[in-house]
Amino acid sequence: MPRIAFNFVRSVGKAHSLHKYNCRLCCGNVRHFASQDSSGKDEPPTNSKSPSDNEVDAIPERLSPDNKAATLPAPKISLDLLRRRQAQKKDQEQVEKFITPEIYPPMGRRSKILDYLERQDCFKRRMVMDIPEFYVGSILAVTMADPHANGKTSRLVGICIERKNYGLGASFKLRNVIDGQGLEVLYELYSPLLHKLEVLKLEKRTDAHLLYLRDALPEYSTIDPDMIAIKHPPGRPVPVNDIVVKMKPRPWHRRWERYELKGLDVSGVSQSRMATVQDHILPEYKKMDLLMMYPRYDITEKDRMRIEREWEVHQNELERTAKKGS
Amino acid sequence: MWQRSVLCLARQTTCPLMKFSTTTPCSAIILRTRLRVVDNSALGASAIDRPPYCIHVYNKKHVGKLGDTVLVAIKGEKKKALVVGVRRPGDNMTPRFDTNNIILLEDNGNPTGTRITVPIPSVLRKRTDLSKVFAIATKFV
Repeated sequence: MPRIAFNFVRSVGKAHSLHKYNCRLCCGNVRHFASQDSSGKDEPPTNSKSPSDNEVDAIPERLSPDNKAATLPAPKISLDLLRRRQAQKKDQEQVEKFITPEIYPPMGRRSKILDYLERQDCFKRRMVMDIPEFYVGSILAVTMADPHANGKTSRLVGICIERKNYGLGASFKLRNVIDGQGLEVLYELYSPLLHKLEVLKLEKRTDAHLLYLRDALPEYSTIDPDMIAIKHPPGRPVPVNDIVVKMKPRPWHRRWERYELKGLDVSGVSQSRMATVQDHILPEYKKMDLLMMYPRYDITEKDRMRIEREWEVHQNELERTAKKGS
Repeated sequence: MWQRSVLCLARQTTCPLMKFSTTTPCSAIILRTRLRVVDNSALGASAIDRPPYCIHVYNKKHVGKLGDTVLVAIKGEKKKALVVGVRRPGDNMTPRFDTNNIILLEDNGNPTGTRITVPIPSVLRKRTDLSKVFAIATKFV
């Protein structure tokens, strides 16, 4: 196959670095020139051997202006082998392994290095504090540092209504009704103020968020603060609670009937309002639009596997340290 | 939240009341914000049919936050009150309440009631001048 040399005259360094990922014409064997002023240097800037398109690199090659390869410890295994391993694992496991959602970067043009470093910081925190698996709809008990409280900590029990953000900024909202007063607290998962996160009841709901609980009858948000944890047997799939919540009379904080939520009862909404709902719901072809889909699908398969590999490595390290301790 | 019902004369026979909201809701505590009294004072308990509303906020911006003193109109009289819970989200890790809660205060700053029935945000406790309020509080969140 003839080697095609690309010499970009007008492209800026940034655009050039993305060429390898964006250009459909190039295959992996092509050598990309570093800059428009080719001073006789034909060799690719970083590695001695050009990468094949089968290899999964831990980090992108072009990192710094002086073309030094970053010494980030990441295993180089062929994509085929990785895929085979994952397929094997899937056959062995009946349950899909939980991968925490905040390690998948959001849509858009982002610095992969910064994302990688942020993920590593997240894993470092997880070595110190156990952040369990939980979903929107799970019941949690959060113990937080509080200088004014008696034992210098305060505990709040509630139902998780939302999970947001990437990396160290990852947050979740807990809702509860205490003494007839509904309240919500937004906790940052990786904040050093969080001492303990217990999952009292591990379950999922049919919706991505439960913000409508503010307008639902208070019984659906009331969690007993002295509730005993319900242990989830390992290896069992996480149960999905398909409860349909009854709402308070209108007005609501938002027009929930327009949101396509499965967990709330919109039977009380008037016909005239329901008629306008279709104008606000995306048509099927727009829903299939990849750009508008859940951020996870914006990541290339290569990057997604890389992230999942990092998570695997971290989980193995956790297990190792747990075994050492015990 | 509250919708002003407007009498539509043209549609009186078919639909006597046409309800639509005319102002965008403001989640901060400002002039005319309706508030909920959460202590066990007699005045607070009696003002059910016409909820108390804010007529002045004692700070520079006149936008009330947690811990601010406000002047409320309650049962035809003016009374000072302390904001102990807001609907507008504040700092992370601090609670956001479903209602804007107040406790009534005397002119000297002492609370009118003897007990606060709902939880109070723990972050308020760094305010040392509100020690009398914390003495009557039952639960901190």
